Amino acid sequence: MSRLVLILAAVVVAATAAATASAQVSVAWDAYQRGDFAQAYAVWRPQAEQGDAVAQYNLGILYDQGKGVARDANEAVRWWRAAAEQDYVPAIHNLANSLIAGDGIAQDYAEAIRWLQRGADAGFDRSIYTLGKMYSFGLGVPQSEARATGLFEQAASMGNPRAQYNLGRAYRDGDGVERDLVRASYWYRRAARQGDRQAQAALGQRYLAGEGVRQNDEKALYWTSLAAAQGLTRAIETRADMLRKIDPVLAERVDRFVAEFRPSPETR
Amino acid sequence: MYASTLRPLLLIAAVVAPLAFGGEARAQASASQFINVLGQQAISTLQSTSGSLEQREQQFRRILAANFDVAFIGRFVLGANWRRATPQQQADYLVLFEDFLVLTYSRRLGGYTGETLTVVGERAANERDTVVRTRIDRPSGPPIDADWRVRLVDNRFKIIDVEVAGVSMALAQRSEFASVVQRNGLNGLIQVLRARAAKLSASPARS
Repeated sequence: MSRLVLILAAVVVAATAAATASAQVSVAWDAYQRGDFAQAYAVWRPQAEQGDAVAQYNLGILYDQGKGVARDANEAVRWWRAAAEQDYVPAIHNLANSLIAGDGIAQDYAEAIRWLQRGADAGFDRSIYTLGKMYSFGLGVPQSEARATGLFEQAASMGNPRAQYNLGRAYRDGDGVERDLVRASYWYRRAARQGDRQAQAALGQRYLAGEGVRQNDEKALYWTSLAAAQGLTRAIETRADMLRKIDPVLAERVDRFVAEFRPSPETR
Repeated sequence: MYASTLRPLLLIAAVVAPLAFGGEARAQASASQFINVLGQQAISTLQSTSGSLEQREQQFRRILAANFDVAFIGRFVLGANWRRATPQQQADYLVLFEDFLVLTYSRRLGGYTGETLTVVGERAANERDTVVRTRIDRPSGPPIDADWRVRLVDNRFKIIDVEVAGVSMALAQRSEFASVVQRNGLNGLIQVLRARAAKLSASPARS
């Protein structure tokens, strides 16, 4: 009986501790959202020192972005590495990016690739996409468009908008895959719907040229305008050209649709 | 090596953060007025608490991008490597450079309260450009002197460089970028910018 009480007490204590920790996470998160980075730091710092991987990752972000603390890229790397060694995937990914940028640590493509591979093996779409870029550029790995495109395809299927855009480009240009304009437009569209401005501009171009889609000036203007609204210089220029040629009544209608657009993220 | 670029940049970020959050300044009579209006709007906007941090950061980046001549700075910073780049590389680079520029500046968003920006003078740099001299007083730390090089582009003022304590942001970046390209090629630089932008736009995890 007393044994049961002890077990129950232990369960209650553990549950309370977990609840307190998660309440603290929420306090820190709210503080971060308010821009009170110093308070977020005050919560995450001791948690990170106790080995909490999420807190270590978050602390790394504060150091990397100089929020609530003086910017210190070395400290960011130190905390991300601590979390990465516990297999916390977002930290694995950021550590890889630090190694690629040579920021807070000496640039080391080989080590970056090892961490990216670890992130990719865990199914982290951003690591898969970044690994694809490394293959496309031949940085730290032998250059291979086929490998790159395969990785873009994998991350694109998981909903990663950057990978979808790059896959669309690969199909458009026949990089590492057979040229396929219909597939190019398909992937551009998936990224464009998620709000990726480069994909929106590219899809606008598809409609303008009638490549992989039926030629449609209105849709060309629509997608180009969405990219322009996000400040993409090329799209701003293309849009100005289009407006000179299109019926003003149509243009006005397109503008209303543009104003109604809301990105629909596939993941996260 | 690369980190050293960011030291002057960080200082400039401290300067730009209070300035650029103000919104687009339109039809200003003079370069000083352009900078002044941006600065004053920034201070009131920074103290606003509406919207999520991510929304405020996004708005801030858009305003920054609108008030800097990003394409001009990006080309200048790349130097002779611009002409050697393929059209695709140029396009990729410019998009990433904008993210890089803007994310570098906006890093401090929300961390600043109580700054005041004062225009202390202006001078003509040449027949096209005006340098607006400002002082930014901060509650923590000594004031920062910042010189804004402003150019009229299509009838709108745009910032084309910032000098803090005599260090030109554009020149500092130019020499750093050149050494990155020398070591790892233009694609290496593009990947550095991509990696940095990815890190700087990361948000903390909830649990």
